[in-house]
Amino acid sequence: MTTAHPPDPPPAGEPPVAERRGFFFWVGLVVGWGLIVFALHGLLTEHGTNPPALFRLLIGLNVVNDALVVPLLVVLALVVRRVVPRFAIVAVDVGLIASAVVLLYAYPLLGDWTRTTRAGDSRLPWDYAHNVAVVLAAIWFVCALLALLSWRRGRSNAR
Amino acid sequence: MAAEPPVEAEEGEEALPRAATLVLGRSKAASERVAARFESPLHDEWVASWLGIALGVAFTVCFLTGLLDYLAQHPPSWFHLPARPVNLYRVTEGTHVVTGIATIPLLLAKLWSVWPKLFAWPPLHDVAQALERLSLIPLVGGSLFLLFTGVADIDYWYSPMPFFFPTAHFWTAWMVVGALIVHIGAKAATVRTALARGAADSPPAAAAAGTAPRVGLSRRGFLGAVFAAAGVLVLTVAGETVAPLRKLALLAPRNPTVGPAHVPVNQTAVQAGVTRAAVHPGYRLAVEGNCASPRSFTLDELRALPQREAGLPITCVEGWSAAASWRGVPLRLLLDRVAAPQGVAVRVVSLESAERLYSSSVVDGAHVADPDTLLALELNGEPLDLDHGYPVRLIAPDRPGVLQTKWVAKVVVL
Repeated sequence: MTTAHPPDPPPAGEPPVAERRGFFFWVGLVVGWGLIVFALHGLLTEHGTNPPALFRLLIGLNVVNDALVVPLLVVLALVVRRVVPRFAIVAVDVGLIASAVVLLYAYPLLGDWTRTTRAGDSRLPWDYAHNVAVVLAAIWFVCALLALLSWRRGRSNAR
Repeated sequence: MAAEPPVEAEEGEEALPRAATLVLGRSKAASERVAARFESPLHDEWVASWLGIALGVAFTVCFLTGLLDYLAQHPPSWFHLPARPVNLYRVTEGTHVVTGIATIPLLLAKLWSVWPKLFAWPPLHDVAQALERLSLIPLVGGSLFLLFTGVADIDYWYSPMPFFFPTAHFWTAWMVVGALIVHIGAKAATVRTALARGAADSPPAAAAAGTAPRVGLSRRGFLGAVFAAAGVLVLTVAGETVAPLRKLALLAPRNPTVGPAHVPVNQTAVQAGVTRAAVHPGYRLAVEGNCASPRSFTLDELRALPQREAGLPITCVEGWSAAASWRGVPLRLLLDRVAAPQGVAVRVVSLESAERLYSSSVVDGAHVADPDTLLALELNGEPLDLDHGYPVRLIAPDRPGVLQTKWVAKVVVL
């Protein structure tokens, strides 16, 4: 997406492009907030939504992401920069991203709390601790290859 | 980091008392110090724009397929999912779940890329911008809520959801779509500009700027890693509904080949509390309501009626599906035996307690008329297993699994 002559950034004092409000901004604002109000009405009036619990979870996830998850990732990124050899940093970054996503998704599968008695043998049929380990091993194997390639490229460039 | 609009801020400050101006000035300085600490090139508008586009596409697909699936499961009077093609519901439900799973890394990466904007100062300029920024709460919170509850649902983790999942998920999706429209309207110009500017740390751009490529992931590398993570999740989960990926489905919560007659069971007869009634020798299937000759049928009488075999998938709202061969009495044929009018809908009632959720379901006229809508007696060449709904269960094209009523006791013509 790189262009030969990138457009200049907005001059000092001029609002960023996002602040220059055109037709779409106002249409989006009206239509979007109309839908938000429609949804809030549905959440507050339809049976079974339990609004206090729902909004607690909704806001709570927001707070957990901004106040806990992202700061932790920032710290982790700093540690990686200081500890990991330069040639392996990209591979480690990729591995950490993929591993974090897999663990986030698989977290409920690793505990006993999902194994209630509602269904037959087809439900949660695997040893998920083992399978998660296999997936993570595959991810880190690929990342190790990436790091190796990067190391070899670095050596050949040095020569 | 988004650039501050100094002129607007200063103009606003002129009208403020001196103490407030001092506070604003210090807060702005503090905000700039925080921003300086997060000068990673991954926190920029080019990355955020591409992730935003990918998320916009993923959310649109998720919303449309989810809307269809919700209406199929809780049909209002004006909505009927067509009975053909027979895999329509299977495809929309599978697409919904797989796209939702792929969205997890996209959303987290997007939130990471724009996180420093949390400290932008002053946070608000005017009412319109306040409404735009306020919409970020339902957008971010709602998106995280949808993914969290969606994953919890397919992983059978119900304890963190003290609400009825489909309804809460449905209305929150509307809220997120509304907030997304506000966000797109506000950021469309930014995205256009950022994409036109390109990735500043790409090798040609770095060479042009006379700077060395930075250590660690480039913007493009970061996007590649995020999309690769989405790919890993899809490959290891989608096999519960996409048969060719079955061997890779290490993280799928369901194995669609395990169960009586190689078809999964979501609710057993014991759990439904129907074991005794289902195997009782005096079992009769009653057909009544809007028909000239209401009557009941013994199991032998049902077996003696003309049978039809149909290859139909059973698709669960939790995302798995399995193709199977069903054999039984076409529902329309049974209605002809009781002289029910053409084009009618029916209510199929289970032996389960009427208080149980989905203990009965309505089959609309189009589905009743479809020759593949069966009161099934056999599955994959074997007599119907008790856990699959013995003695008789409903199976019809394009219906959610919870509406394929098992242990049928009664068919009421409406």
